[in-house]
Amino acid sequence: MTNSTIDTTNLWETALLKIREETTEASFKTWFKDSILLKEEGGIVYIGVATRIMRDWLQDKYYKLILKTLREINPELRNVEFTVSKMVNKKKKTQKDQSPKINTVTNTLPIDNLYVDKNDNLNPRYTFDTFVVGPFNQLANAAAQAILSSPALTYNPLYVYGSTGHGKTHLIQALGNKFKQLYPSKKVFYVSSEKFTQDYTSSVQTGRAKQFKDKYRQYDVLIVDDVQFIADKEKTQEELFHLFNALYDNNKQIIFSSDKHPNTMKGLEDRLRGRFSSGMITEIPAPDTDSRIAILKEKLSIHNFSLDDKTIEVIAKELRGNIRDIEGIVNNIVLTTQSKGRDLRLPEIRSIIQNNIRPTKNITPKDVVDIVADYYGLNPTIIYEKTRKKEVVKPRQIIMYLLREDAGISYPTIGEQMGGRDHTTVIHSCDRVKNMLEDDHVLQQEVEQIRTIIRDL
Amino acid sequence: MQLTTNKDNIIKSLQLVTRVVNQSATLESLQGVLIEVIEDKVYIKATNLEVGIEVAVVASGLKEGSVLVTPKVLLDAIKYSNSNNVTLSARESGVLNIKLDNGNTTIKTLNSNDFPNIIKQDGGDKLQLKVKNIINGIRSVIYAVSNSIIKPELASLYIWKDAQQLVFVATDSFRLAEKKVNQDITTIDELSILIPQKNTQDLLGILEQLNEGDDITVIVDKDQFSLYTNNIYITLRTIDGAFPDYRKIIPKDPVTTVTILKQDLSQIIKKAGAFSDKFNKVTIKVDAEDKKLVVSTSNGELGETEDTIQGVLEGESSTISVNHKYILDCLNSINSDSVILMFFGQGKPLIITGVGDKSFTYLVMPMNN
Repeated sequence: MTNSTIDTTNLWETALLKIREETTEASFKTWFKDSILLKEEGGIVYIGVATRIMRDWLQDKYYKLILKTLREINPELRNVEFTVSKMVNKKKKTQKDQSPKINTVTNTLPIDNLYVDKNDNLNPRYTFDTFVVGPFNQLANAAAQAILSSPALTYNPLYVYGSTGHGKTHLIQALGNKFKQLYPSKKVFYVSSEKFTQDYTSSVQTGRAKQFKDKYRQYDVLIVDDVQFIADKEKTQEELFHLFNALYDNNKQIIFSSDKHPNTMKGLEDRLRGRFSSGMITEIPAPDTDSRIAILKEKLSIHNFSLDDKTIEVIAKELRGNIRDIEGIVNNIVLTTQSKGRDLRLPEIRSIIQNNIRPTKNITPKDVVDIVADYYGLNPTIIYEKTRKKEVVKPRQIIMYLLREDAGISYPTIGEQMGGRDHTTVIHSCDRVKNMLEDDHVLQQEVEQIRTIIRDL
Repeated sequence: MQLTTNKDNIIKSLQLVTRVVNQSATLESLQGVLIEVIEDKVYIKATNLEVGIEVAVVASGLKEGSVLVTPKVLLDAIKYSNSNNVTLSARESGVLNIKLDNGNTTIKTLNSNDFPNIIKQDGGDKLQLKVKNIINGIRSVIYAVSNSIIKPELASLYIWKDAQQLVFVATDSFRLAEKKVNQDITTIDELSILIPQKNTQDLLGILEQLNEGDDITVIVDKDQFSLYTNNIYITLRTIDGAFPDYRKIIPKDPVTTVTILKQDLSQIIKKAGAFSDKFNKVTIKVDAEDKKLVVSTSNGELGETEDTIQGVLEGESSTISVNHKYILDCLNSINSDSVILMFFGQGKPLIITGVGDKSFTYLVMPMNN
């Protein structure tokens, strides 16, 4: 990060030793003892102190002494600045281990997960340290890392989409938190599109629209989560559109998350759709088995809990999709183990999984036909007809594939439902889609998007 | 430096600023209060580096200059006298002369070179609050602030704004206290202040000496929080951090609700507390059939006790074991005569509120059996 070659290790420690000789013991203890070197940049040394009183005092009374001392150690240093820093108290904490008598008898409130920084709405719990990167989210993660190294220049906006519980929020919040850490002077703000809408409407109602505009235009990074909720809200969309332009023109990074690709979002104005698509669009699909195993291990380690590899594998295989479900199962397993006071047997874990997985909703073939036809811009009735037009054949085959794979309907029944087709036709269609899916990425995406729509039904 | 002022007035001002003086501070200057005459104004100042206070005093016969004195010595020199007025004048030899109608005292002054400036806060959001609202809010929850500094956020009192209310919150993760105070704030939309426990106590100590009905202007910034009236300026360090979004852990839909007299609860818990073990554990049992609440405790060395109170009861039978001190702590913050206890099942917290008083909510986590 720094653009100089000055070696700062022990710089401040050495300086403090010299300053100690120049001041009284009491002054030293009061003003210098807890100060820390934050960084050195371009010959300027930044010193962190605990309070403003200390900052002003060092600036007024000790500036000359400090600078002189620093220059004696390294003549290349040009200046010294003092700032109030949170890091100072952290240092204090590690110095004296003040762990109080822990009250082990009373249970504690589950508040550890609920820290939200009011200034930027980010939850510090979401970090890249706990973010498991696997094949399924590699691309999204890479995009996030690229943004961190050169914000607003590489991918602007970044649009991340995927089903609920695939880690979108974790990724974009981790991005925000990391950004804060890397660029402390920049302003990051995280907002859900719902909160954004509320903010906007209440600002209009109370005649504070200008404040609203100013507030959102000040950020260097704006993260809008679950942007699909602004569908059909015309005024909010208009506001977001103008905000987008204002930020974009000033080279501010914008990040969106949604459960849908912009093209499949209904009730969205075209100009906003265009803006969403103008940067980088990346999908986080459902995690693959290996990633699920990695995620499970990560979640277990948070609880200081471990399971043998075979059990983990069984859970990862039976538990498809949603990371939130994995979290729920982990919590459940940990709790059950604690209450039973012994390790759980595999059948017990299986039954926990069975009880926790949401029953799949009954989706009728008609629903699937309607959704797929709509997705490809067709009239549903044409699907049932005997036409062999290419535009109709592909959707029809996808419908059969989905009915077979996801709904588990038998081949003959599918044939019947699809306008009286022979079951061999159905088998052929399903195999064909299956084969094509293996290397046709566009089709993969399309099917995944259709699945998302069906799931949200 | 020289000034003549009303004796009671200066005593009051000295007592106000003395609240923040750390008499065993390493730096001698911080053990004193600074009396400063600048042009036609007189200020009395003190700070412990976390909290700073400055009081303007009306005085006459002014000569510019400043002295730093140990507040206790100065107070002792002034307060035992019938005299209406007092004249302070600094001598060059490092002493302060104190002249009363019937006496003359000289005290040693401290070296004021190291006394820090109390700098007025410039940036930040401004709002008008009632002194009594701040006092009420702080008092209602301060006992629940965590004593451990491992999590600085929990070792602080949290103040935020919810619609037309100021909300004061504190938790040490074993219990949580929330007090809402009606206060019309129009100048800002959002508010979030975290004041470390010691600073909160200092602030409370100062505010308690002011007129409760007065308005006070507050300036909130990232790491600083200042309050002022026309003659007092208080500034304190706050924490730039995040308080947990605690509202998510306040459960809804109790399985059992009991309404009883606060007085009854207080007595029964105090009695049980006297017989509790070293963990202060008391067990509260609600019997849905007999419509009664039983508090029991046993201590291998002292004996055991069991008391019953009748109350209005809804829902099923419930049992919870809690630290009796946690229950007693909150009762003073409840204004009504009757309290509601809400139970949410095993392992879930107990909630206590007043009847007809939604402003205060208290959560206590159960103890393991």
